[in-house]
Amino acid sequence: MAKDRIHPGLVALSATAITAIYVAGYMRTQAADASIAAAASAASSPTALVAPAAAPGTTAAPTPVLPRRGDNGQGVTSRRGVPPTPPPTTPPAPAAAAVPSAAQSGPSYKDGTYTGQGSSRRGDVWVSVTVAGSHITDVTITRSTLQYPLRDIAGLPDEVVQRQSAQVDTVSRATYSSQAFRSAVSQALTKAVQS
Amino acid sequence: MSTPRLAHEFATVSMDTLVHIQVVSAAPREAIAPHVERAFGWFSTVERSCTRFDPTSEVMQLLHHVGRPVQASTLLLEVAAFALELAAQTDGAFDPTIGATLEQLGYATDYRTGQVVHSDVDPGAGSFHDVRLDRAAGTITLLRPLVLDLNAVAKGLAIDLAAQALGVFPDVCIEAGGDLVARGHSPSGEAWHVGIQHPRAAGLLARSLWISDAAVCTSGDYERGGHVLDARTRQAVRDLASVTVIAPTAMAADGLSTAAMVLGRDRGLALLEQQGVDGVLLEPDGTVHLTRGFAVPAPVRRARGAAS
Repeated sequence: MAKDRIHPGLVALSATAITAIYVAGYMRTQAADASIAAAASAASSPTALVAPAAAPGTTAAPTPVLPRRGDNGQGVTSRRGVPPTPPPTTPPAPAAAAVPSAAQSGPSYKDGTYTGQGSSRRGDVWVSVTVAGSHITDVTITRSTLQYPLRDIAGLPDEVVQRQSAQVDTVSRATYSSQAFRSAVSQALTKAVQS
Repeated sequence: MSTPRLAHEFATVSMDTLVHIQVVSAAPREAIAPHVERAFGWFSTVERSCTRFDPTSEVMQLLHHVGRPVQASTLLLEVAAFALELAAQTDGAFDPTIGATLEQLGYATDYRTGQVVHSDVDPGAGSFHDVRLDRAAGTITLLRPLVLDLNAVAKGLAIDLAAQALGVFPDVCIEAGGDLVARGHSPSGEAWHVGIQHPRAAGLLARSLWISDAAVCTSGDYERGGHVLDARTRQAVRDLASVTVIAPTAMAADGLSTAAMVLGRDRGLALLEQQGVDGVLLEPDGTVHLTRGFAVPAPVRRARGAAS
């Protein structure tokens, strides 16, 4: 039975949506961010992860009408990412009035270098993610206790830069390593997301 | 692994349901709790954008700008896009624009405040064709006044986002009102054991599943009695009592279980097969129908196409 080419796969659509929302996202619980920050300054436990940017303000203030951000930097084709020229900002439609929701309309990574750690049942991996011009320009695996060879996931750092996302494909027969790598990059990117 | 594995349990109420998170980890609860807080935060965020029970939510604010494009959050845009795609794939049997009809039928009470929402919207008019999305501009336009009921997609999405927030933990189970994402292994070291409730015999399981790295969502008339409507007739569907879908994401499982429920046994099964997910369809008398994937012996279910 041929796959219906007109209708997209809903599973794939949902996966893309989840990633876009998560990276764009906006955490409402400021207490949680403070807790994570407190745990980070102690930095004793491997799971005391470093704070992301503080959650933005409450829903009381209407969202300013912002030009639409470039959509997660999709369309970056260069490896070792030169940040793409930002798309021309389109003026908002006149009636795009403030919808009073504090949800961000797009991701904005703060320039800098961020570390992340991902765990799996077969070991942990640590990554360093560099952001320049609000785009991911470099991803490096800095340390690994994975029980599998690192070469299995050697292609994933470049894929992160290409996709501007932590959500790379799982490498066949390297499920745990891929999972840990994704978690590590996600964690690093969470720190990079600006409020 | 020689370190003891405990299931740390956390719960909150959000999106009119009990949200229950289990994290299996040797880490102390204090190290886990902040991540769970952030996971719970995602439920609040999704609710803030998508609930039709709060006139000030992002989706309900659209009613103030009928006929004009409105800047929408990525979240609302993606949820609406997904719901509209479900509508297209079910030829409108599933349609998120039936919110006003649901209000009229009495599904209109905000669980947090007890207030009844009443929108000044004609319940008989409009369809998903009257909602336009412009992804490039990031806008949603209602061509006529419409109350969007995004519940079939939003809860699944919230579970997926919570799962992302807990991504550092390989063994978690996030459950909200019977829908869940289960990753890794339960405290016993086995996969997570998930039961599908029999539609008519309380406490009896029609089927049980062993789940690792998948989402399981059920649509049915258990709690609300005939709440699932065929949008084309505005009538409650009767063919099936419930549909349970196993998929890589809860957003897809949630949406597809509702869509299959509305379509009925034959077209519902066809949709699930075409979308490459597995499902259990229950008739009111308990008769079970399964997608072909169940014919393959697989003691532990991972969603097809998921990282396994």
